[in-house]
Amino acid sequence: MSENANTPKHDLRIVPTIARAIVRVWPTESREWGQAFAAELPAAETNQAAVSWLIGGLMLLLREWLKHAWRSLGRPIGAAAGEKGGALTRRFSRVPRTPLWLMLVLTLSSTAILLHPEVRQVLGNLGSVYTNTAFQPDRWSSVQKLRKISKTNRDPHLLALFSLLSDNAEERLRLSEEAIEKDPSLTWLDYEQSLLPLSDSTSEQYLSTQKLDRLQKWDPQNSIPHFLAAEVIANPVRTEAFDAVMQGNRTPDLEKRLSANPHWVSEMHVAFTAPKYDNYGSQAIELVRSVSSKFSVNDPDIAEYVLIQKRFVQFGLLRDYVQLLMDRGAASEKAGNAQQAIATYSEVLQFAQRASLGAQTPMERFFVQKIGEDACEKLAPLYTATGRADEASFVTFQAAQWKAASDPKMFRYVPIRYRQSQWNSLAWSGMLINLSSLSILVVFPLALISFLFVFGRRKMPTGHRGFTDFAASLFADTAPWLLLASSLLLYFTYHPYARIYAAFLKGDSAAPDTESFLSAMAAPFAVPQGLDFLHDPVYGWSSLIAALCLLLVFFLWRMILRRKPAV
Amino acid sequence: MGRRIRISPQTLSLLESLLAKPTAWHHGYALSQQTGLASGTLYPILMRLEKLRWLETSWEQPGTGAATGRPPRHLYRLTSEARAWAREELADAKERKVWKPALGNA
Repeated sequence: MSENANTPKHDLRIVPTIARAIVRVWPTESREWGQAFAAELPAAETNQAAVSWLIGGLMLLLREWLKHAWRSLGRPIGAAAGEKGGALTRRFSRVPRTPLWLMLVLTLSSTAILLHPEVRQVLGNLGSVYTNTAFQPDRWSSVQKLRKISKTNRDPHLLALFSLLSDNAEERLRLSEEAIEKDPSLTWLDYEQSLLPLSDSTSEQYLSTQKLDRLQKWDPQNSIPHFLAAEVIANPVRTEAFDAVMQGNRTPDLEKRLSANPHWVSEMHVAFTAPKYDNYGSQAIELVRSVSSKFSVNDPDIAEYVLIQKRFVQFGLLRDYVQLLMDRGAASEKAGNAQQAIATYSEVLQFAQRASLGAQTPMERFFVQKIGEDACEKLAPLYTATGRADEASFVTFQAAQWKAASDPKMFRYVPIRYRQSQWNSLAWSGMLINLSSLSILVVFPLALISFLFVFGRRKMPTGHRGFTDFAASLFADTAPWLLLASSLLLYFTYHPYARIYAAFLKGDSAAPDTESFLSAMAAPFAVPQGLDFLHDPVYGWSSLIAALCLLLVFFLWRMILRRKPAV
Repeated sequence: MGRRIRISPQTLSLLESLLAKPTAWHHGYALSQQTGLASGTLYPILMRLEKLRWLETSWEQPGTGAATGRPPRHLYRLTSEARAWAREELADAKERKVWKPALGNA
């Protein structure tokens, strides 16, 4: 014996009490060491030494508990910690502890959630992101289902929808022609098919003059077919300007050259004075809604695709014509011809009013209101100067109303991508959707393999089991819980967005507007900054493989560590 | 002892203490005093040595000798096989200058 001690040399009465408590909660298999540590406490010579010894004991207790928890994962069922039988069994003799019925309940619950249409939809969306097929409608199951129907049912609305979904110019034209023949109310399709092909801007060609005439005759009150005609007239000049830019030559003055073309000016004048402005956005949405409802297809991707491909007027040409009118008005003012100036500015204002009513996107509305405000600013003083106080008051009110509608503090239109707070909310939802889906993607096959492995090896004596049995058993226990947690997370994160899509496709009075619908559609594709790699098929899979490798290394490390312990 | 394992400087200090009186039984607090190791460091080493069967352990007989009036203590000493191995390890560590003896020549 190197040292003797009789009674405690310190006077801290609490220390033995704590030491006894520590021993009581010490894991059974190593409690002897807890007793050994406590038995030394009376030998501590000072209070400080006793407290220090006690703290060491607490740390030791924590360490033993962690070891106990880790070892308990590998202990066979029925063998208590520290029990002789348990100690004698091999390290990898673990078998799953979750009762079979519970495993089945958990797995079936997860499967039920995964089969829910909303979850299938988001998984399909993510699948298209990871495989880069997001804009290939022919690969979507909903479109494939409609294709099958269209083989026997030549419903004009169905054909019209396919004419908007197809990426083949010939097919688009053929289907849209067939749809218009069957139902002339679908003649607006000519506007959507007016510039093809969609995929190659260098070989774009406008519809034939006959078809453009047909559209104008079908919808004579609308400014849109006239804008289209003006576009066709402006096309050679625009192509020339584009080529000049591409070749690094001096760009021709587009506005000047167009202003000098009486056909273009005349067509733009007809467009600006036409009684209505309707770019057929609502017809396109209604088409999707009617086909969805008629053929029981509820896929918001179809609506999104149609809206994203939607054709708009060329704002550049509008701007050029407005500039022409504003210059003409200014020239009339300068020449002292107030009546002529008022007539010219009024053409801009009245178009802005009509287009503002018919605009179906915030972008269009913002553009036309801005040109309307400019016209109002010119008109108000002219009306006042010519003694038309009522009209001056009206245009002032109109300008104020538009200004208020685009007040930066209240109503300014900013695309969702640049609205930080709303985008963040979408991005975090997107991250949860992506992570839970990735988790399902990994856990589901591994769970299946583990179940089969454990089942196949159920008669193998525990002494003959290896690390794979241990890992499979561990995974068979945890996988049903992980799967259920991931499925629930995916469902509850995506559900609010799915409600928005459903309401939009239903199209009743409570339906969200196009902007809200398109914003909600971005949820599965939005992730916070720095996590963009999630959407990259290469980086995404590399990260997944790296994570699995790390897990493997961890297990191997543990095996090596156990075989060659450090002292 | 056959195979070589990683040995920490703390373990070397403990081996040195145990080898100071190789056949005598040592108890934890005294070893802690001699090596300067806190209980949280000392016991894990003792536990590992015992698991490797290089350390013999025993409990004091209750009511024997100086132990009267306090709980019996846990006692430790190196097994005869381990003593040779410990000397070898200490000499090697000293030679490699990765450890310096605190109690003179071990």
